Amino acid sequence: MIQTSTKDLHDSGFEKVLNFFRKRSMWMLHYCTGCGAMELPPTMTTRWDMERFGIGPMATPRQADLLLITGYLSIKSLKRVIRTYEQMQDPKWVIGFGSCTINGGIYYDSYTVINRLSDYIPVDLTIEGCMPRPEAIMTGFQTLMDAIQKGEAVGYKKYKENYEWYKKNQDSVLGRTEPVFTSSEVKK
Amino acid sequence: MIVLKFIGYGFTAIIIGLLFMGIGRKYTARIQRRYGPPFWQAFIDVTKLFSKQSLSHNWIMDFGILMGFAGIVGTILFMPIGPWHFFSLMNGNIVIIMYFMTIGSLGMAMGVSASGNPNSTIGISRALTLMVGYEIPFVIAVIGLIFVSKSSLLGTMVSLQSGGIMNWNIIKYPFGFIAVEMALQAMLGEKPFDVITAPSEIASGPMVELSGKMMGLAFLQHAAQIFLETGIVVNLFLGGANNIWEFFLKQFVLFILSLTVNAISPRFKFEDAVKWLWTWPTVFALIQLLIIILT
Amino acid sequence: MISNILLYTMIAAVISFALGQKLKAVRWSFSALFLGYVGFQLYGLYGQWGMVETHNIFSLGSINFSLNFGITKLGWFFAFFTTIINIMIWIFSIVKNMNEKEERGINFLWILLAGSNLAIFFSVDWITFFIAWEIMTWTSFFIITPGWKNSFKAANWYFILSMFGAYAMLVGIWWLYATPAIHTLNIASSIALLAKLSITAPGTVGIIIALFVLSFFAKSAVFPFHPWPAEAHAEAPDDFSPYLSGIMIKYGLYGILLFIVPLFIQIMKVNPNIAMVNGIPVYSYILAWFGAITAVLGTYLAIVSNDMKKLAAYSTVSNIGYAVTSMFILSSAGVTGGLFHVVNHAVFKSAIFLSLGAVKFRTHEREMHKLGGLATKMPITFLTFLLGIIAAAGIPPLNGYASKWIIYQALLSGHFPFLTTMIFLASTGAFLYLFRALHSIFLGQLPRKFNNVKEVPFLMQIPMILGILSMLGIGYAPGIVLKPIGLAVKAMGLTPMTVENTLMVGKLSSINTAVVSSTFIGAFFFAFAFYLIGKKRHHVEPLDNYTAGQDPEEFGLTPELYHFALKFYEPVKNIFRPIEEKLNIKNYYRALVRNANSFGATLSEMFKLSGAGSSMIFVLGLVVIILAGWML
Repeated sequence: MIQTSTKDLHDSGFEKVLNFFRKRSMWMLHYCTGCGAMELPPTMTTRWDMERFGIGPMATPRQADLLLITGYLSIKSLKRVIRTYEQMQDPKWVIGFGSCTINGGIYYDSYTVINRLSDYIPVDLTIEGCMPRPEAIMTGFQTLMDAIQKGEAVGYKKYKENYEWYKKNQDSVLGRTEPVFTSSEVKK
Repeated sequence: MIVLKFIGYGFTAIIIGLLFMGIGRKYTARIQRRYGPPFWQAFIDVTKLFSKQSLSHNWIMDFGILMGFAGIVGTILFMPIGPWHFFSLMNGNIVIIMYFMTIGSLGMAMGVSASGNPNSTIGISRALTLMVGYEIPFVIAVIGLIFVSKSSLLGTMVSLQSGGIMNWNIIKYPFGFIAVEMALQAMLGEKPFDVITAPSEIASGPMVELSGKMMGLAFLQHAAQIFLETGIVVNLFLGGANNIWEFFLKQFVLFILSLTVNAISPRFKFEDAVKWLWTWPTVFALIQLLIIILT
Repeated sequence: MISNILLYTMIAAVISFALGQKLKAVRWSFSALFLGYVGFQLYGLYGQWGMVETHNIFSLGSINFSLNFGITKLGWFFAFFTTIINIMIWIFSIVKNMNEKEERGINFLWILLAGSNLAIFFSVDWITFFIAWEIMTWTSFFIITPGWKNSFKAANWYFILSMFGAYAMLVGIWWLYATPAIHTLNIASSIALLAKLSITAPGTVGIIIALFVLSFFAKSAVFPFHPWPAEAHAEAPDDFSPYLSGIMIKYGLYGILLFIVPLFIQIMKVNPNIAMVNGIPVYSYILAWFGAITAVLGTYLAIVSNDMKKLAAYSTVSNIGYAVTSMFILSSAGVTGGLFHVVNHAVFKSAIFLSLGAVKFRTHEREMHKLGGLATKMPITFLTFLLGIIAAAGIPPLNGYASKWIIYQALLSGHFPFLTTMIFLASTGAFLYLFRALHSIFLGQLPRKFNNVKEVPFLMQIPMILGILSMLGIGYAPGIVLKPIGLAVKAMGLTPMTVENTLMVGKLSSINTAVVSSTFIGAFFFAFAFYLIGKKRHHVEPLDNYTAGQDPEEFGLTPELYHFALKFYEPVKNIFRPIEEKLNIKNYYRALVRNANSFGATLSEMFKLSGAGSSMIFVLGLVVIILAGWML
């Protein structure tokens, strides 16, 4: 069970000053295996232009502050997401994008897809919709920015505090990605 | 006193460079019909980067990145900024500037390749090859200017250009300016010469493993580099300046020119970039040199 | 005094031979100590300019064969600096050779080589010079190949080109002596007489100069003789490579400075009707272009080579190119710059080769892509190499930039725009290969098999640390070296550059090296202040890297695979491939070897075949000899 809730981990003091800069300059890494990624190009370009809030795409997890999971996540890709998330540097945030990251969406009964992203990594914000329109995405970003300013978006601390719990959840599904035949058996 | 002056030089370069970067982003956004980030966005980014947690792979990475930033800041001291100059004996010694600048490149190269990521090393190998490309036209143009001003000091070149726009080297030696402007585009790493940091191809190249304040230092280095490289061209061709604001303005014009090309250009393939640099700008620089030698 | 030193060297060689292979450590330490003594003696000789010692060996009719040694400013300068570098290398050799099975007679031969090294720099007549030169060639040949198969093949390159050069010189000396207007073997007086002769008989002088230039270029690996260093340096013992690159390759440059450059300067003064380009004789200008071509070619070949010792050897070739170009400018700054670059190159290239030797001592690998990530394991070696390449690239505040700065002064103030561009191209290209070597050997991922690699023993670190200190020292105060160089330049009849310990004054600009060095240090502190902002950084494992989310273990990703080192500059190669395919000097040499072989085979077949064939060869040979005698 989750040991510590986010309420006890809120930022305080000087961190809050820094949070002003953090919220105005969120560099995101979009994990685009899901169909929701389709809605990102209009959000980035002329019509909605997310760069006016200082949000921009980045190439690697080392540079990024914001991990965007754009839609359904198969178990195999969950493994990559976890590695990517762990490679990001604090403070870092995760946005679950579309219904699939909330409850599995239309893939709720698939054996290869996870249903609830927040069981495996701490999700700071989810944007529902299938898929969410750019307006919804922009609103989502605004909400996250407010949360960061208030010092409430502290999922990364929660992950550290409850690492065992997350690890247990992850291991329970990642076991299914083991190959049926191990490589030595294939050779035979 | 000298320490304060030193710090003043460093901060001027960083602040002006960051301001240019911010305004440049806004400018590019407007070309693309976007609203764009606020003009102080680059300051926000740097502050955020320094507030983040950061990692490095070993002490060489720390050392290299520090050396990279130090190299560029050190070079700026040799450049005359309008009426400011740090050393009277070496007021803009162009040979020192060109070699001191490479401390920056070498430091950054060493730092990022110590991280052990092949993407960063590929980026560096491209950057170095591109350097061979753009240094040749740049040097040929500079040699011409050294011949006419009989000095390799930027300070002397600036004083020879004083007294009105007709004395500027851009008017007197237009082909040389064209060559240097083309080379400057590659120096700044703007399109069509941004193969070094191609984000979708080699995951932003040298910056692959930089996080937090390491990235922040790289950011500051880039800002200082913009200041330095545009500043050199201002001194060489645009007649320096009488006060620092004029100097910044001229630098800004050059930067905006480069950004305009950046905003409307695709990307050169890497070998083609070098070949292009060895044909067009080099030909312009050679024409200028021949004109200078023969007259 | 000089002959005493040379005699002691002989004795030391005999002692080393007597000590035998069992007492390797003893004999290497002994030779290093002995050389220290020689260095001390040489220091004592400073200032005794013009002293000449003559030793008659035998007389034949009216001709006295004698060995003449004297102290010239240039000779002393070379002798002293090479001896100091040699001491550094021998300290390195002590531990290096302790467990070397194939060491054989290297030490004995090397002491002889060190002696002939001194004899070259102190000889005042051509016969002595040539004898010393030959001893040097032979001993070094056997050091390069102490019975190893690959190294024999490589040493052949060296040997044949050296022999070619030596014979060219011998013919040159003969021609010099046979010309009635000269008829002297003394180096100094032959220069003066040749200069006078150039007014009446420019053809003869031209041929003599060409023969000597061929000889010196072949020794210094100037284009078209550039292939040998890569072969010889790569296969030579690891502690001999620094000597080859730091000292031996400079003999040709010494010859140029001793003979060709003063001769040109004399000719310029004496001969009014000589064709000039930019204020220097045409042939001097052409030779300067040979230097520039060497510089660019060496750089390109270094960029595309994968063997670390070959890379460093080609880098040597290109540095020789800078020096040659600079010397043939014939201005005060040009000669000073060339001479200074020779010293600087000797310092930083021996440091680089020593660190490469240290790497090979621990890893036994020479191919760069098989190495990687050694910096954390061998920090002193890494620092030596790093500072070495910074100096080699001509980056301030190390010594390389001081000499490169003077070279640029010479080229720019003499109005040589295209030579400057070539040199700059080579110098920028130097970053490419130097960084490549740094990355492939010391940075990047550490292969698993080198997890237990340790830093080399302290005795091997000493010469490397000395190398670091001298690079920093000369970079901070180039005046230390430039002052004695100034004396040598003055002896050639040029006005030396104005230098102080930390100040160099040129025609186009001046530079205060102390200020440049402190600027770098200040800038570093400035950067460090930024580094202290914020949270302390933390270290992660080398393989905890951006791999697009893949787990390296599961993906089968090993450090060896994640190290980008092979085919590093493939695009550069692609750009130059069309040119390279057409113009490859090595192929010309190979074709020459093939043709020589087939010619030899034809001859021997004819000889074996029948009596008629052999008698035909005999007759033909006779005809050739008679014709030659009649023509001359």
